[in-house]
Amino acid sequence: MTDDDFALSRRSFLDRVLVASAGVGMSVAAPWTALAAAEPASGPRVRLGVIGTGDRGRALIQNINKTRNCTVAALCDPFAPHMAKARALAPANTPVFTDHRALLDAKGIDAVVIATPLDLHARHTMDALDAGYPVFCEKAMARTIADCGAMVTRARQRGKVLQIGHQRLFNPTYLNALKRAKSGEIGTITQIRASWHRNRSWRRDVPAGGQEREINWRLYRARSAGLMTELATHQLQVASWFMDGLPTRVMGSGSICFWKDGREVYDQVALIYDYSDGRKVIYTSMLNNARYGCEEQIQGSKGTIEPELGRIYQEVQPAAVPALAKMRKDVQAGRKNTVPIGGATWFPELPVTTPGDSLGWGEYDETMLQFEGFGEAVRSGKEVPGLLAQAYYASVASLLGEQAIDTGRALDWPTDLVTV
Amino acid sequence: MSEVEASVTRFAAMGTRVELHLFGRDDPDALAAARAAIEAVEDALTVRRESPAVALNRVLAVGGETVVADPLLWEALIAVDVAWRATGGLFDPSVRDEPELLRGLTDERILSPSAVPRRTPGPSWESLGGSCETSTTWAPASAGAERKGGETISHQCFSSGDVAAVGASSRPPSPLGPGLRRGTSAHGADDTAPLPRWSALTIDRATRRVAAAHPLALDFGGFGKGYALDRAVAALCSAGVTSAFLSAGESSIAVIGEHPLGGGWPLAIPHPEIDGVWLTELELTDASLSVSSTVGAGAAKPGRAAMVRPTDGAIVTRAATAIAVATTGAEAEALSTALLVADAPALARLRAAAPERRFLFSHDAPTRADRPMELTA
Repeated sequence: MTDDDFALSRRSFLDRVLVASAGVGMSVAAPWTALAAAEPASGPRVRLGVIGTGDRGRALIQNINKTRNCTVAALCDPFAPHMAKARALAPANTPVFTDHRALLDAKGIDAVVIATPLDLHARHTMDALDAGYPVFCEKAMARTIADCGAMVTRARQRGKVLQIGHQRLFNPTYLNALKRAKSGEIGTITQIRASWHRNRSWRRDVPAGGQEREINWRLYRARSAGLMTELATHQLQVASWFMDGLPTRVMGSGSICFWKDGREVYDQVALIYDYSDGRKVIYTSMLNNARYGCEEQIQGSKGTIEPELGRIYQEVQPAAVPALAKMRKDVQAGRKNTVPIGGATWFPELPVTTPGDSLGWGEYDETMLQFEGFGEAVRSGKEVPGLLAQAYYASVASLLGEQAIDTGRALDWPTDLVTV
Repeated sequence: MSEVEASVTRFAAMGTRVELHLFGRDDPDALAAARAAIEAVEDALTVRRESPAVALNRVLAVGGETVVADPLLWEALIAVDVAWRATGGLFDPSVRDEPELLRGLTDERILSPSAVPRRTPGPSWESLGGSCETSTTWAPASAGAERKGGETISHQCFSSGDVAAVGASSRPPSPLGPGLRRGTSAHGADDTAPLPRWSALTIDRATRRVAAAHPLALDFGGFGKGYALDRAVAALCSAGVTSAFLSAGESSIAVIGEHPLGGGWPLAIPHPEIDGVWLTELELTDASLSVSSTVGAGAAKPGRAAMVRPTDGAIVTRAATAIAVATTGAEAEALSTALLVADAPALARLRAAAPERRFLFSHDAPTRADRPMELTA
């Protein structure tokens, strides 16, 4: 792809974001989009220090490289193989560090990007905020609900921008889906069935020199809530977004059901999140069957949206009874024939397999847009509106779900959360 | 009429697909009124969501009493009461062992009952009293095995202007005491099932007060489709429609007037399991039809509850299809259910009252040419 091609693709993407965000109610539901999709101001690029250069950290670096207002200005990772791969993606002579405090002390950056294991998010974020830097932190926010709140509080205390990575918030397909849902196209949304099903162990090979709990940190409870924080967080954010509210209660069950390899986190979870007026979000995640993959089935009284597939479906009205259709034709033709009917049939309640319609607007890596928004927030000192609340509540929902599973109890939505 | 489709409406309601066909006129307003009538019945009687029926069930579930304010629900209760008496208690939409219904909501059923006087005022069925026949098998009245696109078991022709006299009794036949009763199924299986409890209801027609002597709930089931079609028929007739065909799930049919080309509406009831075989042929004029079966697609529907004979709690396991024609859909639905669950004596009485419009076809017997079907209707 040439630079011109990329610029055209990018502009097209941004136009779609803007069109999607222009619907009724969208300025409230997605207040960040108009700002984020605006052309970045001219001037020096925002210099980002990236802490954590594993798979996700390197993906973020690649997206930062696509932005028009940010650049990678420092790297930090104690694991040499990761750092080596990251350096290949960063500008030449980018300073590298093995300790995050050294990066923070070294200056030469305007903000920090954190892509470390989950249990380190809170400490790294606090340290960066205390050092005076705005922070972009990967989701989920932290290992505990208390730490999530503490991150918000610290950002407010320091007067610094805190942004959490939830790329679906910038995805034009999702934005268009939300716009169409808000226009009433699928009626009243009463249930969202979300799933993230994979068929692989989630276990990474530990390279020479690596340590199991550093490489496979997602599999250990001290470091991660596993499926809940690493996968469910995304979809719980989407669910509350479309429900236009927060859960009131969660109940769930989990197990180490298939991958009995010494991991500590569940490889299978099933939860129900109650919302006001009896609405439900039903969430499942598993690691030994990928048939249903990653999807949110947003179900209203008039239709269904599946944003990952990019499809919208209208509720299907019953097909004509063939015998009665023939009867009409016979009458028109002047024929009076016996009508075979009354065979004790029922309206079949099988899954509907109609193809639906495309939500449109194709693929683009919206993570880039998050960084352009973050870059402008760093420049202005003002957060992109609405993002932090979405991320905070999504993390709380995922961690509360873990607690519900662990305790075997239905847990009410916390009343002592910080105000975002 | 040149534009046929203009006089048709199709929609989902009562847990099934509904089709309303008008002939001789294009009248969207009449169709809309008929649809609204059906949906109003669903709104009043559904147990899939909040409704007057659900509210009533909450009260009955604790053995309480209340005044039924909703007119459709009230009419339904009266119609069921008439049907219960007329069928000797064989049609009984009350349940005692359905926790979800007793809690006030279920996600599975739809219900509704009631008799809407249609062309002929109605619901004064006669009692089941009289002689008691013991045979469960009879030859179909005017049965003529003829082929017409397939094998036909019997052929009936009638109009419903003459009301089916099923017997009359001022009170239901079997004394239904409270509590569980041990019963014996149609096949002799020893079943224990809680007896339905319509007899535990007190219905004060003057005050519209309904009281339950024991905890119970109402699940009108397919009866609601017939009742809803009655309401739709009334709406269409009020709009001046003189020829129409109404279907709710294809097992509940109502016709208004004659066929557009004259004479009755010729219908054939297919065998529920054998393609190309018809159980019987009928001609309807101003009548309603109901088909109930323990086999076929409907019976195989996941989650469908077993058929229980209300009078003794026996679970009905025989493979059979019941067909009933009556003046109203409510009557037809009650009768087809009663025919299906009746024991031999009751079945004989029901049939004898109107043999040309009440049938029970047993499918337990071998079928096809090499294994001729045994007719019980």
